[in-house]
Amino acid sequence: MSPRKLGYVVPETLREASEFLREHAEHARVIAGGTDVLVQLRRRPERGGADGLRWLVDISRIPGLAGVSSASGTIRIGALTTHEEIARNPIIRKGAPLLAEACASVGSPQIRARGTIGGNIMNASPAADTIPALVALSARVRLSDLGGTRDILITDIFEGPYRNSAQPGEVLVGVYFDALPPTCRSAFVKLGRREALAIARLSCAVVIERDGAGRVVRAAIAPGACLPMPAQVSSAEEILAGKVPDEATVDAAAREVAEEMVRRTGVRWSTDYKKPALEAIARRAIWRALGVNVE
Amino acid sequence: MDEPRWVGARVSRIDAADKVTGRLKFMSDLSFPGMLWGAVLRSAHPHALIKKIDTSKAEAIDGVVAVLTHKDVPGLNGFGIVVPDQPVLCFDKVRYMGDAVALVAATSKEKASEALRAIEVEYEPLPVVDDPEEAMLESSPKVHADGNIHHHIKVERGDVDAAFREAAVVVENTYYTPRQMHAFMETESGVATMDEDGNITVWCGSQHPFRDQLQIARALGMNPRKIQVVSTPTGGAFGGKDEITVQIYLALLALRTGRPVKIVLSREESAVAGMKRHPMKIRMKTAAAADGTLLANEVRVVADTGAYASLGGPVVNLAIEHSCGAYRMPNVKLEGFCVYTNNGLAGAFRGFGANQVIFALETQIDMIAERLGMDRLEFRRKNALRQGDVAALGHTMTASVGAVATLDAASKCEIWVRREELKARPSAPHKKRGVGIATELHGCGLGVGLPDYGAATIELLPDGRFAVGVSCPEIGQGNTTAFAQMAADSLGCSVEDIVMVSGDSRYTLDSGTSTASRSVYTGGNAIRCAAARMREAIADVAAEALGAPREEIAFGRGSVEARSCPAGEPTRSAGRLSFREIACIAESKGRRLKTEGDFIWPVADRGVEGYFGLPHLIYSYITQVALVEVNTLTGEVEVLRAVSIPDPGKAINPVGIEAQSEGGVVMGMGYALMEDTVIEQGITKTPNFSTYIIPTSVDAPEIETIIVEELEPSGPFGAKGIGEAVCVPITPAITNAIHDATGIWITHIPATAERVYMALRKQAGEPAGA
Repeated sequence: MSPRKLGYVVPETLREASEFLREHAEHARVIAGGTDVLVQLRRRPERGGADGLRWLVDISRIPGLAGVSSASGTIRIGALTTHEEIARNPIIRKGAPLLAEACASVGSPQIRARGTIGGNIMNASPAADTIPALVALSARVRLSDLGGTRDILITDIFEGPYRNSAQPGEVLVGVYFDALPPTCRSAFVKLGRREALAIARLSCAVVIERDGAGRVVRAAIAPGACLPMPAQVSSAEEILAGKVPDEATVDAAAREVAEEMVRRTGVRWSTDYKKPALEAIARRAIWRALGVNVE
Repeated sequence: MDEPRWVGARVSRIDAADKVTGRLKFMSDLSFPGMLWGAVLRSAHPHALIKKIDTSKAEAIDGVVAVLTHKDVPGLNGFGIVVPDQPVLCFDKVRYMGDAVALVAATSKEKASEALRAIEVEYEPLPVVDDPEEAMLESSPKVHADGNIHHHIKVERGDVDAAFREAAVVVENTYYTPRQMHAFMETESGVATMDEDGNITVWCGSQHPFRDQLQIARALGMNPRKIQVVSTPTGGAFGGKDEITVQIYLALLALRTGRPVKIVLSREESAVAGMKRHPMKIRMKTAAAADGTLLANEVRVVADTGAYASLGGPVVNLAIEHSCGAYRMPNVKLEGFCVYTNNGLAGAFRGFGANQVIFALETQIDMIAERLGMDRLEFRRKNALRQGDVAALGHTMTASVGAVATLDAASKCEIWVRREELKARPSAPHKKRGVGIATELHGCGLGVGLPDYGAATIELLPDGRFAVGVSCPEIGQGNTTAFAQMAADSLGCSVEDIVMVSGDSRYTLDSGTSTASRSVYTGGNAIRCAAARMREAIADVAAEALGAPREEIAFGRGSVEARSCPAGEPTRSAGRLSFREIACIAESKGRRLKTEGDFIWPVADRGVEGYFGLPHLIYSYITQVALVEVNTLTGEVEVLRAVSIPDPGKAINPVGIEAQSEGGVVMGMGYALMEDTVIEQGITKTPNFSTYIIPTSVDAPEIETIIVEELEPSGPFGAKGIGEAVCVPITPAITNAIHDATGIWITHIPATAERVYMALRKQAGEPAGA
């Protein structure tokens, strides 16, 4: 492990942050809770460590970036909101329970108390727990820069594993999505190597809305830790759409999630296990989103 | 002696308050004025020749006080408990990524790291030897000049071939076990200081301060008397701090700089450079007669010891000794190889070779029972060793034997009695439940042919308390509490009146290691001896002071009295003297009451010719039972409940035994299901706890401990030892439970979700990749 000399700046406004980030571009990196950045700094550059970094830009003192709010059906989560806050927040527990579940499954209490949703998104880890949930919610993220803000779909912020599409100077300020109506149920299911402090080996987030007859009006299925880029699996969602799901339908949709993963990633050494395991995880998540706990 | 009041009682750890409040200082917490930070330059290759080392740029850095290479080792440039084949600082070649090439001391951690990066080492890489069986071939590159087979043991008794011909059932399988990490909370760390007379003190968590003192002295070319080693309290060890870790580096840097020097290994450095459990490949062929009598066991063990010997030879010897478990086995052919590779370093680890072979054997036992249609527990009980039996290696079991007693207790535990009922109620339709059982015996002490002794000191302090010194360090196992309990009952005082002095080469006598499930038995016997002498010394003082005949002095709690006092004398009321008064009287005559006690371990009636460290005379016994649930869709295994039934002899402190038992169950569960240090081409791929997965408190099952006491007459109050056995049979109990649940046999641990899932699919007849 090689220590490095890093400058540490603590801007008090978004403008200051953006100016500094623009000036130093790839030599500067935003830090909030630090649960990912500090771990990466310990790594040698050849093993994925942050090479060329000179500055850490601590945005945690910038006002207005933390907290959950709701207005006319839209929920806003500030980038600095911690996993712990989100998991406990009543607005989230009611309007996006799958996100509360995902945040509650992140790391340990210590990590949940420090790590932020903004960091989880911008770190762009394929195994990030909040991302499948946000994708299933069709969330949008807001980026701020000197010229103002722009909103993009959550799926458009990713460029690849550990790479986001923000421009130098852009700071993620929040994430937005529509609160799920009472006709919706949702689920987040994760497969780790142990029960706590586990990085997802596979996960699956599901949102299903049904009409009074029990027919699926809308389904969103987003697997985690297995696709090259976070995404919904529309071919699996279509299997559920318009139906009153029975066992055969759910099995078919879950199988489609796994088959779509193989189509997108190709067959790897781990496919023999990951394919059936994802199918099992997806099935569990779909049933849970249908109100049936199969655990 | 009175009925014991403290021994057997549920006594809180004497260090509990200091530990939970954070007041306790571990060695890595110590700081001294003017202290420097030391750091170790590790190898850049798993196997390479060193062509050149240039330290000039590092030396020029402001704040760097010393840079040391092999040229700066004044004495023997080597260490190792059995053979000193590990260089303190490498000179001609490096054999693993943890090899030390240079040391630095600087005014800050950052300067020390900067200095490491400025040291230029020119290497010529060599082919990496990473498969132990390939390493055994003549054609393989050599890790050490004299060949890659460090140690070979072969023991035969009876006629296995005849037994295999006559047997009703023969099962033969190959087992693979992982490279488990000790994962102690405190990494290898410490501080060294030097006084104006050139005496060095090394404060470093370890398991044997006197052997550390010897190894440091040998490397420094110094008189051991000028070196003090302090190693209590240690923040976890589990065998991984039995060998030298950073002690010699610390001493060399203190000697060179004359200033205090501290080294704290990062978790990554500890993971790469530190000890591990030997991965083993075990071929085992086991036979039984139709009536369920075990007839023969043929075992071949190949152990990957990594780059240096350390305790690899003895670990393989103990694997051979334990490979027939707690059973009568009339015909055996046992062979073990301990092989050098460039895969890190393997050595002592709680269980010391038993964990691997007991996993294999206890799986074989279940397979045979199934083939014979016998109950698994009955089959074990039928073959279990009894006192007076001849064990597999030919020695007679004369000490206490608790194999049957722990199996009897297991047969009555809830998850065994209700197993069919529990199995019938999984938490989901795609989940299956099973109950597994396994048992073992575990050698206590160092075995035949090794010096195995203990010594204790007791001093009556001016305030009437006793300072009790035993060198075996407190490594978290709770031995100092057990020592205090035994001392209190031996002296007739309260545990609060005992001040323990532990793990210090200056203030205690050499009692050997805190390893081999030996410290309570060793220290306890030495304390009993020293305490008897202390009581005599107190009685002498009392007799004189009270003017009573020596034989009339009787001991009460915390005091002595003369049973019948001469008329008019003494002036003290009722002729009673507290220990504090005794101390005052002795002091007024210029005396300090201090006694020593010693003790030598008894050994088995016969050894194994040509080898040392085996067999043992005294064994602890344990049976463990596990209830698991297997998710057949994902292969995930959850351990729901575990019952641990140890026979530690007398349980000096039942709370301490329970704590050992619970920690052991979780450690053995990690070994069964998730832990493995992955090394590819000599490079550690799991250097931190994000990639090296150990169970968390959330993964731990509900654990019940049922203590069975088969008292050992040679032990203090009847105690044996329990530190290791508690983590051993739980592993096959879990894998046997997976079989009970699903029908698959686990022969390769850890039984990760993938392995279990693939085995389930194979069982269902589906080809992999379907």
